[in-house]
Amino acid sequence: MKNLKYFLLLSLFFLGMSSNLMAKDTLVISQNTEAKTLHPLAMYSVIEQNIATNIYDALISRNSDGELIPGLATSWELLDETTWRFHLRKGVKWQDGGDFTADDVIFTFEDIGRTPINRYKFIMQKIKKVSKVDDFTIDIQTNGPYAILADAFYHTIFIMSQAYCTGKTNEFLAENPMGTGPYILKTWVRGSHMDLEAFEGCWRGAPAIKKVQFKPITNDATRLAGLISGGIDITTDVPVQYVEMVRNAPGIDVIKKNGMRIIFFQIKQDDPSLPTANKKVRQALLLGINEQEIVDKLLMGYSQVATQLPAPFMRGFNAELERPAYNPERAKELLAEAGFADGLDLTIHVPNDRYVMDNEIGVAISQQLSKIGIRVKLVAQPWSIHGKGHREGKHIISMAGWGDATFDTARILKTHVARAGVKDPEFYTKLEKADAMTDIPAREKALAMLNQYVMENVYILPLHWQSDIYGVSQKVKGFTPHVKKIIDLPALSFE
Amino acid sequence: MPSLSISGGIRNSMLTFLSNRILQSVTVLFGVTIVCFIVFQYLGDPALTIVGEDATDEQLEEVRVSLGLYDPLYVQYGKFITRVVRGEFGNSFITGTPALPIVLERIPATLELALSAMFIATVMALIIGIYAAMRPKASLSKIAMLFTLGGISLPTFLTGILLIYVFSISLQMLPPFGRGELVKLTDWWSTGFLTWDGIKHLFMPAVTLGLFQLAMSTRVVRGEMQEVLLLDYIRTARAKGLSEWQVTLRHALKNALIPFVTMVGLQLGNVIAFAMVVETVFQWPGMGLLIIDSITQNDQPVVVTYIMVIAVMFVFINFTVDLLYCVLNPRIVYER
Repeated sequence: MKNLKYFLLLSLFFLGMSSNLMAKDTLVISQNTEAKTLHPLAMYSVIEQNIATNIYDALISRNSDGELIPGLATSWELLDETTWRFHLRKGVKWQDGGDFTADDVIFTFEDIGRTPINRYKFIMQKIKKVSKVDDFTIDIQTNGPYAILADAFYHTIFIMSQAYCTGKTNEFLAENPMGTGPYILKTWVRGSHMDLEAFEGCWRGAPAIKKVQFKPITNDATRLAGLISGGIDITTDVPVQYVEMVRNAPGIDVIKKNGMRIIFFQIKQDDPSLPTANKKVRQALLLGINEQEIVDKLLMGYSQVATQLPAPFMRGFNAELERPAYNPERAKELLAEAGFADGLDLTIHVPNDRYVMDNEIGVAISQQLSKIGIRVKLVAQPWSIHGKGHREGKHIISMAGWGDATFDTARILKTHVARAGVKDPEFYTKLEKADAMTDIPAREKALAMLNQYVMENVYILPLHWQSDIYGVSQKVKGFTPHVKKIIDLPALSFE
Repeated sequence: MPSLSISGGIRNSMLTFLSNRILQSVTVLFGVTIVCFIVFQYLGDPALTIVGEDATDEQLEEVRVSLGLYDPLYVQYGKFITRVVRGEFGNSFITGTPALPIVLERIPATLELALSAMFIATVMALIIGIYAAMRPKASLSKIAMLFTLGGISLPTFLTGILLIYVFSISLQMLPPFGRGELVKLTDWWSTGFLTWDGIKHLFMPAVTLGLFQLAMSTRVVRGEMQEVLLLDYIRTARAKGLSEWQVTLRHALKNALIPFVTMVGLQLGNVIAFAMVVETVFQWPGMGLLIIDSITQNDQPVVVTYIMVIAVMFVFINFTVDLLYCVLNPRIVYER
């Protein structure tokens, strides 16, 4: 009896170990949310784009520093202010064997792209017509000058095959993607995993890793346990408080990249009776928040204190702008000058389940502001509720994050300054002028000046740019983080 | 507890009883839909979920109108109920595909987990409970009862994470997430019971989920056994010279089991509900994980569908238990 017990225990132990000895041929990646759809025009989350960018291609792409590089379009030029010509790549094969031609691009934009499934209205509104010049050249006519057309195509309008998609429902296309990219979707068990296999005939070349599995795990502790125990090779989201633990685990590297997601406060300014409509009050807020302390203590140094809204690699970033240093005395003076020597009451809204340490940052800032005489009522809500009030401009001070798809400052400023209810005609004139510029260096300069103008008036209150923190097994070679939180699968190989 | 009575005209009473139960069940389901519906008015903006942050304001308006969000509440509810009655639960806001199949396809995973958990809990409850009843003063009994108390006091997610830490990280013996290799039995049901990999994946989640029920089940077994062991017929059996084991297992256990079985049946519903927490910790692709994700993402059709499916399951389980009572003991008929 006793011997049997020991034998059973021992065999259990060895059988448990055996799984670790199997040959490694599948790369397992875990993100913290599941993909809901793989229909290129219906998706909008980075999680889904991360997968789709390996199955599909767009007209352009970006390298790891965020610079535009050719995709399915090898080059493009402006024929006049509102006409763009794109030269398409020859010899590209679809995963089902068909040949890629201009017809597929026309289909994507004019056919399926004009139906309600296409979420990218902000791009489609600007496109008047896409027409074929020949099998490998297309012209895009825009509604008015749209300098950032090519930029806007990054991870948004992936090109779909006319032959494959015609006659199929959107529900089918959501689960059965077929693109020109380096990986083919083989199986998708919702809620569990997605299996991808290498496409040997891909125009980018056959990828080194032949099998990839995406396995979403929402619970942070479980996902990291999977990374540490070897079940997962790469994870895109290591929470800041676990970085040390993961770094100390054998066989795993923690890789950090300064990301583009700006976390900021939107300040309601449209009603003149609001204290925040007063520039001095907003300046006081900026001086009364110790952002460096937040980055150091709450985010363990894993973020960059922001000087403006756009990230350093975005077009229009003003490298000369400096964030004023934390100065509570001056903040109190400014409040007194604005007529609030006895302090004032403000409500700050933050989400509690969306950004890194969002709730904790709200608490910390409330305490910091109390030192300059601002009595804060903090309202922390799940994003599904917070997001609604934020978007409708109901909150006085509201936290949000943004990572712009176009990598261009104009859209960021337009969206968020307008939502704050800023009524400054000078701002809008400057913005329109800058946005219309198609000459890139001139545009950059104009946008940089606009950034400075926005920060001088504190029309918006930037906090920090979130870092992307990846956990990568040392068995994986070639991992270079991108400025947008994606994983470039073809660049990876096993040791 | 429902009142018992012995009466004539049993068939008539049974029919009345059954029809009453059906009526009650339907009323419960209606009540559930009303509560669901009201709660959703406060859960956030479904339009924002559907179109995403990048959307223009015009897009949001379009979606709001198409969802009928500007109709008065009673109109929205009316439309909702007519569709539900026809079995149309709408499309998920996130995937755009019908909500009902999304919920139904996750049932096998949760059921396998729930059944494994109940199996583990039942077996352990029987072992510990019988032993504790037979040798109440033994230190092993006391330790075992304390252990079951621990199972119910520690929150489920904590037990789960502790198990992951011990077995996945420290000992590197068991995988911390997912269901592992599955064998497809039918189009709908893929099982983890038939592969060693599947069982390895089942082990920790099932133990975590089962532990929570262990305390109560063990005490019921122990209590019933102690009572039965004091009865006359047991004393007779002992006097006849039967061994302690024979007395306990052959004679006492059968009678002690009846209330235990009832309780296990009713606990099945509880286990399916609590599976939610375990599924989130172990990334178990069952109904519970689906509902948590759907609530976070404000996918109302899926949440409503899930609640309806669960309500139907609970009502069905309760109804079956009542039916079984009638069948097992025709003398027991419920009085209004």
